[in-house]
Amino acid sequence: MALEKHRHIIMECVSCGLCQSNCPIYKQTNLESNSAKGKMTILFALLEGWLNWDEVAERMYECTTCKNCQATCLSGLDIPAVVEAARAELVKRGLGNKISAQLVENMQKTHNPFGEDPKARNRLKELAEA
Amino acid sequence: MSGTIKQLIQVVGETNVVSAKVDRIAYSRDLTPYFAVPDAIVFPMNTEQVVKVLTLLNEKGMPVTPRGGGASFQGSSLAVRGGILLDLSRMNKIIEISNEDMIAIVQPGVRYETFEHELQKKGLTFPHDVGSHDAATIGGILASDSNGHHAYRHGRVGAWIQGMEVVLVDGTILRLGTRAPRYNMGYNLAALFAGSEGTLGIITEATLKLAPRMPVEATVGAFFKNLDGLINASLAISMSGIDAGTLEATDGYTVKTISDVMNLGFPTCEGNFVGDVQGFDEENLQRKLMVMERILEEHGGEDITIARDEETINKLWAPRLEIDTAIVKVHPGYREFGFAAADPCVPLSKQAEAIREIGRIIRSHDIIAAVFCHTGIGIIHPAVLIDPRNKEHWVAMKKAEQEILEYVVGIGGVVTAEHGFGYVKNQYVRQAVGSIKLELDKKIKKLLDPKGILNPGKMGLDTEERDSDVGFIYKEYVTDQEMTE
Repeated sequence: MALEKHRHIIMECVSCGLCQSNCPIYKQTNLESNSAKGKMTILFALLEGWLNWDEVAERMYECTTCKNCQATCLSGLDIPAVVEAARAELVKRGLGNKISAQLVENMQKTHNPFGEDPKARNRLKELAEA
Repeated sequence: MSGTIKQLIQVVGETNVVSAKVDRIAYSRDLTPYFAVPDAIVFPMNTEQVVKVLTLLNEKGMPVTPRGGGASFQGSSLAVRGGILLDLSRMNKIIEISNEDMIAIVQPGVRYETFEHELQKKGLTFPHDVGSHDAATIGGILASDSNGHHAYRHGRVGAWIQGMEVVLVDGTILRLGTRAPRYNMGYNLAALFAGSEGTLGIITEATLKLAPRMPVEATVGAFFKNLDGLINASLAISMSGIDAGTLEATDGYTVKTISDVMNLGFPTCEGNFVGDVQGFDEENLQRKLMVMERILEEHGGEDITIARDEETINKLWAPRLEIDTAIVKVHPGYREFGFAAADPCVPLSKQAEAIREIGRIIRSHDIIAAVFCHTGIGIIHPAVLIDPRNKEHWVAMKKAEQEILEYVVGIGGVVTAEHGFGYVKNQYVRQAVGSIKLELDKKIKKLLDPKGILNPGKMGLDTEERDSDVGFIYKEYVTDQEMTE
């Protein structure tokens, strides 16, 4: 499993919480499980068998992989690489990001990610011109 | 529990109660080896909600553990008895900053650096820059009466509390102090709640004293072949009357490790000194720097550097701040843990001896130690870096912890001066404060929290054990009970 390769990073996280200061998701939600610190605890619990893959999926997708946490981390831990490895494993297990799947479906059906009627573009053009 | 959760949702709303297993696990640890899963996390948004939540939980006799940033080094905000984790991080408004009264009124969830950034715009500072930076909330800083990096100059945080709003366990709102700078009206209850680690009430608002931001500053570094020279230089700086911001020492082992791993080219030494000093103008600063430089030179300081730019300042601070980074490069998987001997304090005259001896004790057990000292105030921080998958390392850490604390008390020091007792030091509380004070503390606790629901299992108040009521992150962890077998 790809995540096992990153076990040492998960273990090296000391839970100091400095990563929270620059995390765009955590700053919106103030939810520990949205921060890098919380994610490392969650993934540790997963590797230990205390959590199942389906329980962690949603939290793993709530990350922009912007690397702000890595830049703030005193140990420079590559948290985004760990999150991406977790996501790869989730996809393998059929637990892909539901929102991404919806975006793809929207693109195929309506040629835009929001699932809007393509004719709506014309209304925007009209509004802009007005 | 589901009935209680429904009632809590009625008070704070659905989005402010979290009980999914994945989230409860994310809130189950801090910098200690422990793993304590709360039954639910509740985020109050205002004082009225804290009143209602506490009233409800007190009626039920359910444990409630207050939490700020969760950056405790001693397990202070772990829900070791389960129940509700009361996360104050969403009460994060800066209500007012007043230049005229030199105060700020803030909610407990305001993060330190976020606050400081706002103060900076107004030429002010709350000079209590804790090592946990933006991971720390004002509520957590006050509840642990912590020291900041500049505690040498500005003291501990208690002195900066001008007023406080505290919700007592029965829902009563207690208001202490005003906008007026001083009061002397009976027992100083603000001092009691500061450092109570959430065991006596919940801080819901604070009126904080502020200081003017000094416009110029510099960092000074030097290396010493002999730690005695370093400590004597630090004392001489104090005695010169220079109001330095901070005076710090790092032991030679740590300096060498950092220098080798980061290729910094530091000279061989028994310790390095870093201090900073501020001035109200350039001339004022230069006079202070001139005296500091002379003192460091007279006491054997080498490679004396005065830094004004970020790169050089970071280099000088590297031994103090980058040790974890350096160690994991050499030993992947190693990490530091909060342990009971992380923040003792010794008489100023014993600092050099204590830095040496504490380092020797830890290394005698074949584990890695980095030893730091706030030389102006006698606080020593030994950092122990271990492989958490190695059982022998846990045994070594526990043996070292006990030997360090015995040594420190033996030379007239104290067990803890910065992080507080929390959960990790439960077994050392009686030894540290004596039975008379501990029993008095228990009476105060009983008076303010008769059912013992507020942050139970901490500060030796209802148990003098650790390891007995929590889980452990690593199965290799060795409990106190196993140590005695």
